[in-house]
Amino acid sequence: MSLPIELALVALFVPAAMAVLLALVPPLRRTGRPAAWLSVLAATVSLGAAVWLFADQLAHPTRDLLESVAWLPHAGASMADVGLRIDGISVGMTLVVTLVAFCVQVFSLDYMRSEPDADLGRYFAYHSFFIFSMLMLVLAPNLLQLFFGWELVGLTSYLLIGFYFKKPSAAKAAVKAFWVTKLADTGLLLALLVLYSHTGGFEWTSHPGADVATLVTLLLFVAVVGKSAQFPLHVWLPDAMEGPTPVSALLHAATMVAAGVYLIVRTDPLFAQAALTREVMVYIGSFTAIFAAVIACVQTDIKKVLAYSTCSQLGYMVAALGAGSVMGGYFHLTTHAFFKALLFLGAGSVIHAVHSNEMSDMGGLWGRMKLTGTVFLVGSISLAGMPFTAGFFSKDLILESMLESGRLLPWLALLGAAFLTAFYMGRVFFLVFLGKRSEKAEHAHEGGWEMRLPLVLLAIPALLGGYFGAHFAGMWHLDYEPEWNLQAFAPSLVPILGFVAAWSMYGRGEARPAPAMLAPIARLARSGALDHFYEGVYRVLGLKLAAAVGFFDRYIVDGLINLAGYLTLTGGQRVRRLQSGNVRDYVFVVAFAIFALSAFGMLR
Amino acid sequence: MLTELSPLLLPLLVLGAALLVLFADMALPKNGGRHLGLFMAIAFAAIFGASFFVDTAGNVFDGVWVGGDFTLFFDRVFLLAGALASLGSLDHVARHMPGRQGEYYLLLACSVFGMMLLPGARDLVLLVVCFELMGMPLYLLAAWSKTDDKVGRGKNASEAALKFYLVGAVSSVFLLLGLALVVGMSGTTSITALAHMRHSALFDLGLLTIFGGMGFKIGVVPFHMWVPDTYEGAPTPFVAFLSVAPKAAGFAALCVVFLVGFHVPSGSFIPLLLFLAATTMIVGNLFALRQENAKRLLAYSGIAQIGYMLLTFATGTRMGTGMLLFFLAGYTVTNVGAFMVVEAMASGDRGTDQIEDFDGLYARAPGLALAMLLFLLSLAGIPFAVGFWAKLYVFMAVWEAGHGMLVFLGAVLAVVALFYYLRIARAMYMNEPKDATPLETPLGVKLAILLCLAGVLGMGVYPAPFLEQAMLASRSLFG
Amino acid sequence: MIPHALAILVGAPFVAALVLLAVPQRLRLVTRLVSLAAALISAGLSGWVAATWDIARGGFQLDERYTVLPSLGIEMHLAVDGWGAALLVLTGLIIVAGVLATWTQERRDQEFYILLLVLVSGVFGVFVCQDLFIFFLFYEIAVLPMYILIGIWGSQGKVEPRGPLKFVYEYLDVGGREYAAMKLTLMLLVGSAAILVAILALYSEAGGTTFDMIELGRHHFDVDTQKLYFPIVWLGFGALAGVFPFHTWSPDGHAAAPTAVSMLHAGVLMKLGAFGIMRVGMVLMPEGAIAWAPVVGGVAVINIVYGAFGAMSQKDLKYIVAYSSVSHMGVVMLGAATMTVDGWNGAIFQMVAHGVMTGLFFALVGLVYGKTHTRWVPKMGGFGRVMPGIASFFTLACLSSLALPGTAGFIAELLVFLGAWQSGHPVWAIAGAAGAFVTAVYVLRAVKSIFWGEGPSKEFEHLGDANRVEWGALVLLGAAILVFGFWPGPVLNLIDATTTRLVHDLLPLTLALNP
Repeated sequence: MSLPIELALVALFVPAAMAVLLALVPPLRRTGRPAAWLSVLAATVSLGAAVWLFADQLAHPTRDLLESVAWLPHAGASMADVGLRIDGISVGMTLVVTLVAFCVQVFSLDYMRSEPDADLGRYFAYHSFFIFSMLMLVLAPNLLQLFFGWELVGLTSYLLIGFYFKKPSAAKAAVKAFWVTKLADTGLLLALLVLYSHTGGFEWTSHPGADVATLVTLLLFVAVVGKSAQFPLHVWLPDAMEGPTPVSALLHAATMVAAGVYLIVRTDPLFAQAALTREVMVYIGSFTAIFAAVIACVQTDIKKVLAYSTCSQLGYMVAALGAGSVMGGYFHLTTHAFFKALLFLGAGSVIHAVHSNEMSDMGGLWGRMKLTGTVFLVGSISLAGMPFTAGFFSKDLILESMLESGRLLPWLALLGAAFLTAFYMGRVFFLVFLGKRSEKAEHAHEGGWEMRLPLVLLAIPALLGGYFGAHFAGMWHLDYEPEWNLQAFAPSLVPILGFVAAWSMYGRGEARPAPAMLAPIARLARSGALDHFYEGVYRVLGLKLAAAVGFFDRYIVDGLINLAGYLTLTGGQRVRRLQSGNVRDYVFVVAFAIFALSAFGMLR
Repeated sequence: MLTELSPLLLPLLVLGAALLVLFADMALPKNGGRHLGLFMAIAFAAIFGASFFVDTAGNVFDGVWVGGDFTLFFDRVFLLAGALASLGSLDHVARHMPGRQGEYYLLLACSVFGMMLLPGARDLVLLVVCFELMGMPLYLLAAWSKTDDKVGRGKNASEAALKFYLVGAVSSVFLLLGLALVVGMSGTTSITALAHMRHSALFDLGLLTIFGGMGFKIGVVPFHMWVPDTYEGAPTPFVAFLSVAPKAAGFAALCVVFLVGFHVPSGSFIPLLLFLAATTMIVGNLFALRQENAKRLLAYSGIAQIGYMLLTFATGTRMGTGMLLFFLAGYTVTNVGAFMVVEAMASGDRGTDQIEDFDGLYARAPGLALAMLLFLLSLAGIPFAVGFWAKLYVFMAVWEAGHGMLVFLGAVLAVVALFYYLRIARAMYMNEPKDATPLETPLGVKLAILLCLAGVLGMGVYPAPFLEQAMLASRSLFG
Repeated sequence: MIPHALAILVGAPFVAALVLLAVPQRLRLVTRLVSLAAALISAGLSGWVAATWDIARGGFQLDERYTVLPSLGIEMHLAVDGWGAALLVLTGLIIVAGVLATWTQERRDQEFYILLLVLVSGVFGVFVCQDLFIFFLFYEIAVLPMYILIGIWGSQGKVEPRGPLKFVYEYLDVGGREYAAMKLTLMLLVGSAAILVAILALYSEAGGTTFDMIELGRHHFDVDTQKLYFPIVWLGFGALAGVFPFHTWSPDGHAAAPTAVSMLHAGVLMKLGAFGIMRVGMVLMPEGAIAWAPVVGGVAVINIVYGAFGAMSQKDLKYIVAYSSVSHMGVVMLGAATMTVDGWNGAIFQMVAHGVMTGLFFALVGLVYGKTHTRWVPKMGGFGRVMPGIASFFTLACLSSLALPGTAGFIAELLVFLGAWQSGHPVWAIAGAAGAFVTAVYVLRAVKSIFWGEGPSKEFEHLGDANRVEWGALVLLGAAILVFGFWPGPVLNLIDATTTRLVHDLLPLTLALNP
């Protein structure tokens, strides 16, 4: 077993072991902070292994390792192996996941301080388990194992959203998230079935032919729409903000929701064979990008803004992949992971300080929390794609590739989304850090070093990550050549305009109503029309139908069976009266019977 | 002279015992009757034991009476029933009629004597004589406890006996009528000779009338109506006897007349017999469903069982007959056992033979409850009780004869039957007792129950040898 | 090599039952220890059998023969193939867990354990017996004690009369304990009647000389006979496997039955039905099975979806789990109907997976009921606060039932759906997947309304978590779910070794019938 494999195993199984340990030894789990520190330790080891692995991969960019063991028997052989696929793509994602996870866990040490010990232990156990399941997905050598990890991260998401399970809204959100993603995952399951019955395996490198490839990729994309919160299945993501903020940063911004995008990147060989699917991706993606961005502009809850922003950014990636620019999608995934995690943690630090998610309760925090303000600004401009930030390079690449692919409408949508992104991030920044303080914000102060360290750590890649695009491209065997001409910078005017617009409206920090042109959308967003639609479907196709079936089974199907018993019993009841107890009848019956017999004898 | 009677040894021994009881009853003081019962039980048991050592093969009175494995098998069944009945009766008879115990056992013995002559009879006249010899004492026994009126059962008893007698008389009339027709048409009374007779309409008419007459004894629908009333009214230990021995005898007679004689079931009567068998099974089970009195319930369940036996008889094959005999043997131990439990429940002056009287028996008398459960399961045909094999063999025989649908009907009706058998089981195990006073069982009854239990489980766990015997018997009948 | 291993395996519980007859009532601990010992012996031997079963050799192993009725060709022929081995392991797990889970059973406990052990003997017997006739006997032994077990120790429910057949419901005490017991017994025995007929038919068809299933397997039955008797076998055993529309005993029966009995019955006995269909129906009558496969599969799909919706409509916790069993047995039957390697592997594996999962479910439901004395979900809520352990295990069971990867349920359903798609019925697979989603909906709803949210209400605040002994049961079954889910190989290899050979023999027939 070679070094990279060993490193990957460490990165994968140290957190897993920690999760198991915390699960199986309740006393240890209930100690709270020690358990938390153990979990952080595991995350650190995992991160260390990932960094080493990454460096090693940079050293040998062409390396593509596959180590696997038989897992699922079929006719004496194995139909699917479980193992590790170590190449540039998986290694890069591994680093992203472990780094963000590490930062988030450290951040949580302080952020979750007030939780009771037992719950704290549970929280960190979930986190350790998440690293394991996410890496299962990332390092998977075939679609089956990828699906395995895919579902496990879904589970952790469910558990972490429902972390405050005593809170009805949290419980509802967790279940909703699971239902929506599970519904979409059915697509992935069916994709597995189709792929297996046509190729006899679960390899994404196989060539089942254009039609099958299209069917498979369409089914895969259904799952992506669910997991990566694309329209129309994005409804669960905003509700998922019920979970603790660090969780939102890790799962619902940086890594888990990006799993959908990663799936497409990973299975690109299949998608490359399916033009139709890519077309669909372009339009779903770009529509989601602008649609979510618009809604983000009218949110008043800071986490909700970021949540919709995540939808929108994921839309970018999906659109890019649809346009055939794997580099664009994956690159943006990476940079987005950093700055979006940064933003969420920043928001977390603010929420921690003012004990509220409502931006109206904040304002003027710059004076109180300089560091948070700074990193939040960094995250914002990077997300908006201001020149020379990480977001700039990746987003620029996406717009460029979309333009090159000659699809004008989606390009315009993405451009508009870019403008809105800058606008709503500006709005958030100004409302939170400038203007006059609300009374809640009076006693706000920075958190402990556990909270400050991750912010700084994440701010660096959020700012500078873009410059390594070429290296990434090299690792991923994709061609990427950032050109430094004017045409490249043209799109970067858009975010600037966006910030200007935001400044002009919210610069003084007082919360103005959303601009008139957005008012109808604002109403739409608040009414949650889509949610109502889904609830209606659930009520009719779920509960009503179920009730009908229940009645049918209880009173018709079972009724007939009971009827049989009823008839027999009452039959017994009736015939019993035939026995009169009167001798004359008996003699008569006997005589009659014998005559009947005789008649039978004669007539034969 | 005597040597040539040797095939009749067993019946004669029973006759001897009966005479001894008669004289002893005169000689003994009024209160010493209990010993007679004991003696009779022992006598039956002894003769039963003897049956394993004597050779009864051969014919008597130049072929009027033929002994062999067939007669031997039935003799054993009758003796067993007689022994069990006498054992079970000891306490009942002594309690209800201390003065007239002798005649009870005398009548019992006479009836058994008549039965034991039946399977061997190869002459129609002898057959009828044996039939009546068996039947008359039964009428008297059914009426026996008529003066006993402690719990108002005397009236029932005499009423039961009256019905039993009247309906029986009518059917005897038909039996004789049928014989008259057959003899008239054929000009011979020898059954073996009849085998080669040409069937004319009147001949067949006679045949059917005979069947009707015999059907009464075994309680085939529609000749069954006396059964529940008689069972309910008559003394329970006697009912135990009545519910098995005469049935066996009836089937013995049917086999002799129809299999040795007219080879009928191999002929064109099969549809009729199958029809009657099916009706009997259905009616018996349906009526049993809603009975409240344990004895009536057992009466109807017995009718249903007769249906199964008739089904097997209708196959008319050697295998079928063998299975029938096995069924009879198993049915004997099971049913006697069940009635003995009822007797144990109702013994003394308690008139408690309703189903609800079984409530919580598991607490009052665990052993008794367990025994009853096993008897019921055997009747229902549940594995590892003899009843299961009995039913299974019946199904096999009927299947071989090619009546698959009847097998299915039988199987389904067996499930219906389980419903009412479980009603008693439920009362015993799931309801709490009304009075928790432990129930003590008279020694004789206890002994009888134990013997039956041994039979049910023994034949249930290892049926092979008994089946062998039955097969042997049927082979000897077919010659 | 252990001599007479299978005989001991089957006999141990029965002997223990006899021993218990001698143990005085008041020695409650002894009663339990004897039962547990018997369960452990059988379970241990099961494990040993599965461990030593030679996958390379395949076929039937550990042959043991005991004469019973040579004249009829009946002999007690014990042997295990891969299927049997896997299911033995399941049964072992369930019975041990069952004894532990009812450790606190107070009322008439001795009789309870006696019947339980007899029943288990029957179950073990069915899985190892190769003589069709004795197979049937064991089947009956496994089915019959249910009546008393439910009738005496069951819990009462009530169904208010409604619908077009109102009068029937007013006449019968529907939902009552004794009603449930009687209904279960009678429905299953009608099935047995059908089975008996079919068995006699096969016996006489094959010449009336032997009941040995391996012998009978060699005899090629006439195709029309197969087409005639396969459906009889299917419905006969199907009654126990909960095949629609003969499943209605299951909700009432499982709801009424005491904990250990529900565990055994849903966990193992329903499998006997499916096992019988595959072993007697499909293996002995392949052409008949192939001819009827579309029907069997279609009904199975109905089971899956219909059962899932049925479960969603319930408010009584036990009914929810019972209906989910109906739904999951549909998955087993679907796998069987595909007649493919993956399908059959999946079917048997689903028997194991669902057995463990539903065993855990009923154990938990029993615990909750034992503490709260209610099965009514709307009255519950927020229990996660007072009984976190039970909550976690319940969630685990739910995840397995919605086939989440990492649990046994996933492997099973994946294989079954793969088989369905390969067998040329994608619709089956899609419907099955849909059923899995509906399952996700109702189980998570249950978790939410029982363990999450506000509460518990005043009356339930004082409640505690499971006790030590009960933990044993939960951990045992929970661990099994995860182990089978993460590492199916060991068990699946056993199953696969047998399936592969059977399907290989099947292949020419399939081609011949639908080229």
